[in-house]
Amino acid sequence: MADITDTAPVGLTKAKEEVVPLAPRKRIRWNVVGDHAILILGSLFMVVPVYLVFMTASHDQLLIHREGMQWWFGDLFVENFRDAMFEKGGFTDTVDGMRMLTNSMILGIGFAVGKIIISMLAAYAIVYFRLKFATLAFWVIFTTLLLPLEVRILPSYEVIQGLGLTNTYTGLIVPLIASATGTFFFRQFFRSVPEELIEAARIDGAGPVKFFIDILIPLSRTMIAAIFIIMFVFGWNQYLWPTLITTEEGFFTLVRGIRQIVQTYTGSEIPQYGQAMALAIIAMLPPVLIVLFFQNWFVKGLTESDK
Amino acid sequence: MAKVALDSVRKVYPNGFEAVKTTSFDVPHGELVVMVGPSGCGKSTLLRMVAGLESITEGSLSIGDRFVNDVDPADRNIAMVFQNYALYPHMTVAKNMGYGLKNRGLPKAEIDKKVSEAATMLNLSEYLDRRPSQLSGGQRQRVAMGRAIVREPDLFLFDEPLSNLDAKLRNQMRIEIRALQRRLGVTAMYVTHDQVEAMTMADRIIVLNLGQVEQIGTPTEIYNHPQSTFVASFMGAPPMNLMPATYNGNGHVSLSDDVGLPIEAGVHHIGEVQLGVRPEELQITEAGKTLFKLDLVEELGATRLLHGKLAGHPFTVNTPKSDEGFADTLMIDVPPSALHLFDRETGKRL
Repeated sequence: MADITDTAPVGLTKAKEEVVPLAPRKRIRWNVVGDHAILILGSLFMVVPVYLVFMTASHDQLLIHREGMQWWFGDLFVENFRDAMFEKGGFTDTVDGMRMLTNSMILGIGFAVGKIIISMLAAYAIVYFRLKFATLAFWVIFTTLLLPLEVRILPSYEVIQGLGLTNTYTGLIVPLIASATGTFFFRQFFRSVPEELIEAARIDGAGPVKFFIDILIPLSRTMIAAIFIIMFVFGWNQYLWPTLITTEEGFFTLVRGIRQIVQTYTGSEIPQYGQAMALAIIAMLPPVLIVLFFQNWFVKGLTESDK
Repeated sequence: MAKVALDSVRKVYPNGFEAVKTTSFDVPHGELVVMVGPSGCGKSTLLRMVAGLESITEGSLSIGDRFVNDVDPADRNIAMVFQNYALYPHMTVAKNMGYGLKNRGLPKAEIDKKVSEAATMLNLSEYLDRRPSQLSGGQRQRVAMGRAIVREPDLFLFDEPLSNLDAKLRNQMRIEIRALQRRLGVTAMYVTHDQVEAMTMADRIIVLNLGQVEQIGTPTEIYNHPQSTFVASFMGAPPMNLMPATYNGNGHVSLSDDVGLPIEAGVHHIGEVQLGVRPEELQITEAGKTLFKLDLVEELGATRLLHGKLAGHPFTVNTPKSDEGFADTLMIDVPPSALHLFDRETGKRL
């Protein structure tokens, strides 16, 4: 008893003493300055290259070839962007920036939507149906994380080639949409949906399909949004697979097209550096915009859910 | 008209655990039957079997005239209210209530009509466009009730519907549910672990323990004539005092060498028994013949609980608030009619 009564007031007064002297003078808190310095340096590290690309995109290729990246606006800004988007280029002179942007969009959206559909269905089967070996199936899916595209690229190519799917959107998208990550996220999410909700739905006469469409999909919408963002950006930035599977320039994506411009030395011509930079900026925009607009949903999807 | 009949129903889980031992009982039409027992006694499993959410291992179940063992929950024409409400979080109150009807393929106008009727009945009309997350606990519970009502079921099933509410709201909802069930005249089965809920709401109570029915009866029967020591100690608060005693057949049970209590005639079991007395059937009086050693007084407002020892056994007496100023030893009067005798081995009433 004595201990409790003695220590409690002492602790209280101590706490008060500590609070009072802080108010009048402000000290420089070096740890805060340090934290900010690191953060600012980090942001500069990421932003400056983008800035350089943006500025360089407004110069002509000769200047860039002579002097390297530029720190300020040139006078060819509009022209470079216009040519990058609308002037047919490549070996065959058939593909322009718009075409590549469309292709990238198809790949990004097809990739994300495909992944979401496949992984949601897989997770639904694993979580809600009394399948034999459901857990085993899940872990088999999960271990495919150890087998990224780069590892299985030869057999994948062989299969797609054998099916005659090279130079098609199907060949571009379908081999990539099986997703262990997506299945994992949806499985964890579905498992957190209360059992009673399923039972209530059963009593309300909702079968498996109705339950999936009426209850589960609306409940998962923040999760779907989050995964869509990740997967869209991931699909948009695909480089290796499109390079392999598409040889016709009509199927080129933006990411690939940039390299094509830089690489094309036809005769003694200097590559269109300015256009390549402009294209790089355009290639960066959609993922950035999607993340900016949907970041709210993104955080919600990964951290909370309104169940 | 829907009566529920369980005939030799039994539930064994795949892992071999026998959750419900062979059980038979009927629930007559329009009656509210409460299944009560400690957690793990099988009451929820029993209810879920009636709902069709758990398969029935053995025995047969019929609702109305229909044998429903293998009928899908949606086709049993039942409605269930869950402990955590189980409302669809992304739907408005109106959609929540109408979802079952929509799945039955009713026209939209009819759904709207039924939903608004139920909402009026439950004072939910102004909340129809809200989401469950914008409602209080009591309102959510009402929505869950509304969802049950609009289906016009043959049978209501309640699975601890009031456990998530605070004490005051629980009392209020208890009365509301009871009144509603009476008004609609629908048969209902209600699961709870709260014996007060069971006593106050039930037409009949089924007391369960370890997957077995201990007793079925009206609240008064259960309270006045508990058929086993389990029922005696589970129903009633504070619980019945139970202590070992011996009965020698001469009209007295002896608790120890020098403490004996007279009992009513009619008991034929001679030897070791378990003696039960309800704390509220005792009286502290100068004229009392039994010595009670007081250890602790618990103040309840309307009454006081005196905890102490009687012939060396822990013992509780419930006294009205008019009794005051207790000494360390008191004389109490134990009327013979208040004594319950149970078999020491089996716990069954003698």
